[in-house]
Amino acid sequence: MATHLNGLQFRLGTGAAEHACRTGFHGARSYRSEPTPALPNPCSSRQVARGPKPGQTPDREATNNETEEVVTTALDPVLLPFTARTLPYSFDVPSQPEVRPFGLAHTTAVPDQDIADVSHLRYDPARQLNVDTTTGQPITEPGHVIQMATHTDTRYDNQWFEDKD
Amino acid sequence: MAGSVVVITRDQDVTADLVCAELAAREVPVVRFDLADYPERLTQVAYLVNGRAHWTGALAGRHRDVDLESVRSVWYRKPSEFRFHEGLTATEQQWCAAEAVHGFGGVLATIPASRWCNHPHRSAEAELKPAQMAVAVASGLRVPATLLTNDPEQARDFCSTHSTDGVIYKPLRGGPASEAGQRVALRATPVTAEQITDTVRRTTHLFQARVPCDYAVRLTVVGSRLFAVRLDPPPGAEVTLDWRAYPTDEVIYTPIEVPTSVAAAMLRLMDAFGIRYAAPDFVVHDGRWWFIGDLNPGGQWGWIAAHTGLPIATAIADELQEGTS
Repeated sequence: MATHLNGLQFRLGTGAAEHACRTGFHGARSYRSEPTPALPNPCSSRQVARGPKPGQTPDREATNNETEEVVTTALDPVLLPFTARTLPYSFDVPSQPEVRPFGLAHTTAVPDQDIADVSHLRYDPARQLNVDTTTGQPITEPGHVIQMATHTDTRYDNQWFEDKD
Repeated sequence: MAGSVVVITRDQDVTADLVCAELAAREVPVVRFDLADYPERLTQVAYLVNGRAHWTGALAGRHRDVDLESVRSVWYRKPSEFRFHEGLTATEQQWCAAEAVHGFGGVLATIPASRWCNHPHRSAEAELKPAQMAVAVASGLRVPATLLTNDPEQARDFCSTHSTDGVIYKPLRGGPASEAGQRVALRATPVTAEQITDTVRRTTHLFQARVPCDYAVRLTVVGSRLFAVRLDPPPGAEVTLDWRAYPTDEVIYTPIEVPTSVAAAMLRLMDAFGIRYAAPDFVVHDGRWWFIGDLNPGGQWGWIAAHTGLPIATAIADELQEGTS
């Protein structure tokens, strides 16, 4: 179904891939994959069937064997990408409007209070969990209020706020 | 399948804690470390011997070791960078970093991709937005009409062509994090032909036809399990293009179903990139047409689980516990 050769290379619809049947959130259903479907027509007035509930595994539509292929140029292997422990503040002053990139002209300030404070957490390498230093308990303990904000970088969400590590 | 689950992430990744705790409750051996542990707090010993086509040896951490021959699965989440001896010069650290990336990262990268969630190479490919969008279309998902250009005239033409519903600009890789001494965010923004300036020339810019949005959906995909959550703005809030602009705790989170055709296409997209986890964003038009915005192969999910009770940590633990060979 997918090939990766010296970088980025994808081949779709070359056959049926199977997905394991697992128990979903609202109940269990069995699913088995089917060949790649034809691309849907965005202008179609066809009603979309109601599908699996959250956590359930979906059916794959039974359609034709059309093959779509997207190939891009090879990329150098990245090995292990990572993010900075702490993002240093930039004190660069933005360029004049006639020079500054169009996209960067749309940045907005992020108030400090929008960044979750995790200074009360301490990582316990023995338990491999973070401990709330105010209670002494792992944050995953039942009854503990988990402040599961995206306090670390959300680079992969296409946003990037500074860490508080 | 025996062996350890390896979790590679930064220490204060509280989202990873949820999965580590779940695996611990199942008595599945877990070894968690950050790339920052290497080389001063994590020891690598890897051998390659004639007649054996894989690396053997161990990674010895603060409290646990990883036997390179018995890795059940690897969860590559949000590690920070290697941390070197503070006495080294910048030149020395750069040299050490290059050696570590190839020597340490290279050995890890030889673990079969099928055991990763996600293999960093596969994630890196899947993070490329142009690739995401093309493969999404090939997989059967809807993608808004999009222009990538550094040509201001083309940008103006695109905005004029799609002036009925409008056009948004959004970055390919997020914002610069900070500038002029303050944190900054760069979110999707509506733009018009009149607003386009010649500064589009400075780099690639992504313009997208605006899809009239009934509501936004954050979909979390773990293996073949889908967790979809509708995101609505806080009552009385000014409607914006990006739900990230609202305070996290004030967004209204509602688990919903995924149309069968979208679910199937989504799994084909995951297959095409060879990834087992992603947290794509969708906008839903006319109550039924789902348009994918971003794939987010390393996207956050902890806050979604906290606000909805969806068992995403359990699903990830299932994936890691099961492993594959």
